[in-house]
Amino acid sequence: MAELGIRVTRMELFKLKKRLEIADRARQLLEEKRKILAMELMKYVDRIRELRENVDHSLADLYDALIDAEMTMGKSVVRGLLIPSTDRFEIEEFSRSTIGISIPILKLKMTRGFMATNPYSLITTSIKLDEIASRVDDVLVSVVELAEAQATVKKLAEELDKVKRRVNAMERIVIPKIQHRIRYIEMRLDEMEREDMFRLKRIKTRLERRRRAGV
Amino acid sequence: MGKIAVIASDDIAAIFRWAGVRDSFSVSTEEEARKLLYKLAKDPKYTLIIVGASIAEKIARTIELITAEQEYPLIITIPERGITPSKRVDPLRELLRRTLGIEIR
Repeated sequence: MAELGIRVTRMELFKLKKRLEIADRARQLLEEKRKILAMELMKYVDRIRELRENVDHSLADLYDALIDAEMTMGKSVVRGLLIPSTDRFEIEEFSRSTIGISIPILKLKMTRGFMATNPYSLITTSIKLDEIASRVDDVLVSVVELAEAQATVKKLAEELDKVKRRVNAMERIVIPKIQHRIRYIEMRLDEMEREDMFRLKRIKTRLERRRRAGV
Repeated sequence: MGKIAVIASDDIAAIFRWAGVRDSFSVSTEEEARKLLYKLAKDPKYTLIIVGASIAEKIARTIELITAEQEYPLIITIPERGITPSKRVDPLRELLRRTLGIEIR
């Protein structure tokens, strides 16, 4: 077992033992971070399920309102009324930090009321048309919430992936490598000690033999 | 301050445009949808792009690529009348399966 580049000294053994201690502590910390991230992520995954249901419901309501409007006023009339309006929505982006990870926060802002941008006759149109507009607001609110949660999950999951890889590298490569070097040095030092002992015994025997011959 | 864009079928795009999302586009072909999504994703003024399920099904790979490469705009797939986004149009699915070992609906 020839190990290149390892100095077989007690000092090196001491340094490696210290390094093993630090590596083990780092592995423990990473493992803790991995657990926290996984727990946080699970919370957000449940939230995403909830928000996806919200989006589905608000969209189903929107499509129902559209069908109602089409049935009351006629499909072509409704389509004729859907004239492009000016922008009413903007999204403000912030970020907050959780476990050292920057997480996005989105805020939907309605810059103008619907009636301010869509002047149409309230007498000739059905109330269902107003309902569609308010449903779109609901849809956008829930979509923005969902987008924020999905972006958060993506960030947390990517970080968890990185931490998992680091923990694996620590457990399977870094720590075993240090342990292997420690074992090698200990073994070599033991061997050297045995050799020294043997040499000393030989010297002692020779000296005794010489002494006896001199006498 | 970012803007919202919608890429969907004719009627859904028309509703969003009318209700106040000016940049709502209706597309019919896959190629058109892909080009438009790349164009919108490159534009820094957009924070959120909402894609209808019928379109998202066709350009699932493009959505995945953009989501993997850039943080913004966020891309969200929404159900359209009678069409719900299938499992493959979910960029989070593979990531969560790998990291947590769970499937998200």
